[in-house]
Amino acid sequence: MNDKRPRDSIEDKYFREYFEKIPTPSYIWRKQGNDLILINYNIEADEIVNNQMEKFLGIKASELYKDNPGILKDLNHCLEGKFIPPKEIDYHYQSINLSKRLMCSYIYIPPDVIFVHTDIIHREEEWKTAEQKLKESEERYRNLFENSPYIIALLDIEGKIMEVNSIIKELTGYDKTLFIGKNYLELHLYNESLVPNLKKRLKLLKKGEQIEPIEVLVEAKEGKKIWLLSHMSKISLSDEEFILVVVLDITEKKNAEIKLKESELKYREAYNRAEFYKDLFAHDINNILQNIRSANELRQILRNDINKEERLAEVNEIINTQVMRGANLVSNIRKSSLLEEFSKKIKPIQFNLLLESAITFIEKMFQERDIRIRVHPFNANLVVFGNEFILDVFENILINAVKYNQSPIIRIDIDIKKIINKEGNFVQFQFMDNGIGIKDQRKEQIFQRGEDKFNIEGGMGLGLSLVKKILESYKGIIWVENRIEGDYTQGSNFKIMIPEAIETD
Amino acid sequence: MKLTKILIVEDDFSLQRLYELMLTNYGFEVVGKANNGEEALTMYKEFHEKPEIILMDHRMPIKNGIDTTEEIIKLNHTSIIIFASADKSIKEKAIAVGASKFLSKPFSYEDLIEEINACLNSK
Repeated sequence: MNDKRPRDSIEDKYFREYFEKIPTPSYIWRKQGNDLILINYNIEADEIVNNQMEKFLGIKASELYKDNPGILKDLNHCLEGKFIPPKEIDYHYQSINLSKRLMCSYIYIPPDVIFVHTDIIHREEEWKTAEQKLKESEERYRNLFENSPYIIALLDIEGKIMEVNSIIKELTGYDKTLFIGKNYLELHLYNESLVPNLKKRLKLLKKGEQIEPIEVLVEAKEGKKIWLLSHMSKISLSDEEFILVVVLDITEKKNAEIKLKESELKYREAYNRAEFYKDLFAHDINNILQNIRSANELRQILRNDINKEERLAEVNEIINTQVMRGANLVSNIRKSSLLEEFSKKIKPIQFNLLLESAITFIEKMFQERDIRIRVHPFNANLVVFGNEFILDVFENILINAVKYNQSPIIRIDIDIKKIINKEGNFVQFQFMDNGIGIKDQRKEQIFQRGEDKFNIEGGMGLGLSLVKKILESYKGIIWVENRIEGDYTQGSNFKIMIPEAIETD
Repeated sequence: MKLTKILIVEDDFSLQRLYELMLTNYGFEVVGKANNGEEALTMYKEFHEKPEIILMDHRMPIKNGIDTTEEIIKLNHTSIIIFASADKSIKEKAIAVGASKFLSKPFSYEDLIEEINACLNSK
């Protein structure tokens, strides 16, 4: 280092040595004319201004302290031989843009030198303040830790809980002492199936990778279910690695989300149902109109037909049937839109007359087919919980049994009996047909028409999806089996179970 | 005189009957009535003398009109298939798979006869 300080200005080498070793910033000024110029400084003085002191050598006191007239005055008084007691001053080091509180002492060395010794008095105070601040900070963080609305836990790198705040008791019902010392993978508060994923996450954390927060359903004390969102991150404290866990209670948000999803699903279903009915109605009404239009035109055309009377009677019958069919369609569409409302009006129903009515309707609807429906004898006193929609259930199943049937003689066997199982008392209906049957892979799909996909294959009626919905509103069920086990081509057996209404006196 | 042979494919039984009455009254011969596409295909394959015209519904159980048309066209690409459906949205598809005409229900007796004759004349 090229030190330009005028060493020879300090005659006494001992003083010079002492001067250099003073552990606080010190300066030497010499009178020059009516001013003082800086002729030396020590290592400490240089360090405090980031080793920029050299550029101040030779500077006039009047220039350096132009904004500090107090110092100038003291220097001048000192030069006059006056005793200047040590003074606390606030001094701004412009070269480093830093203010310090200094204890400043002036020593006059005749004839023309002033030794200025400064002591940064706030150093010690700073330490004291820092210590105090640290204490306060620790206290604040402790308060923050304990009063946090979130669970905060410190885990060792293997997942053992070292520390956790008290909020854990509020959320889970268990005291924090039950958690400390345990591995979070072995808490048994959440579904065991989550453990492999949690282990994987811990492994990633250990590797230093960041992991996404995870939502966990936790079973708190007394079976209370709470949803928690867990954030985990690896931290280092005094060169040791830990895992910081912050857990938020998101039960309210999660429940709202679940409700929203249910509501969305409900609206989607309602929309699909509306679309399904709209399309079904448009299709069926056009078929009815086609029947009526063609029948009406035929009435004109057949005027000269030799079998005029017979044909006209047939055509007239078609018109009447179509009018009835149209009325039924409108009524069914209306009923289906009211299904939810009607599902609240479940009452004991004697179904025998409704079944008879459905059979008559089918026979009339498919006059050209040879339909043989046989109802096996059953206890006529059986009563089920239902409503007027039970007629639609019977009609729809019978319509399908006829429509999906290529046999010259359509046979439908209806068997009704009481079933008692652990779920309760039921009346079971079996509709066994000799139709084309249903392949195993389609046995569930046929009840989902208009529900998850918009698909109408043909024919009239509101379909098996509506039948299923009606039965569900009775807490009943429907499923389909092969009429002959293992061979779907021999026809289907639609089975229905509806809760029995046991009449009490 | 040899009558034009027509196959009716329709799952609505009363419509089947009405078409039959209209067509026979005009002078065509209804050679078969199928309740669905599968039945229609079976019948078609079994005909020694294939029908000149097939009147085809779309929404039917087992096999719909589009799929049936596709298969019949594969068997005989000169088949004349007239779609008669309440579902207007499938018109383009029906024509694309080989249907010659598309009648949108409810159509008139006159429309039906006109379309059949137009198809026969353009053969």
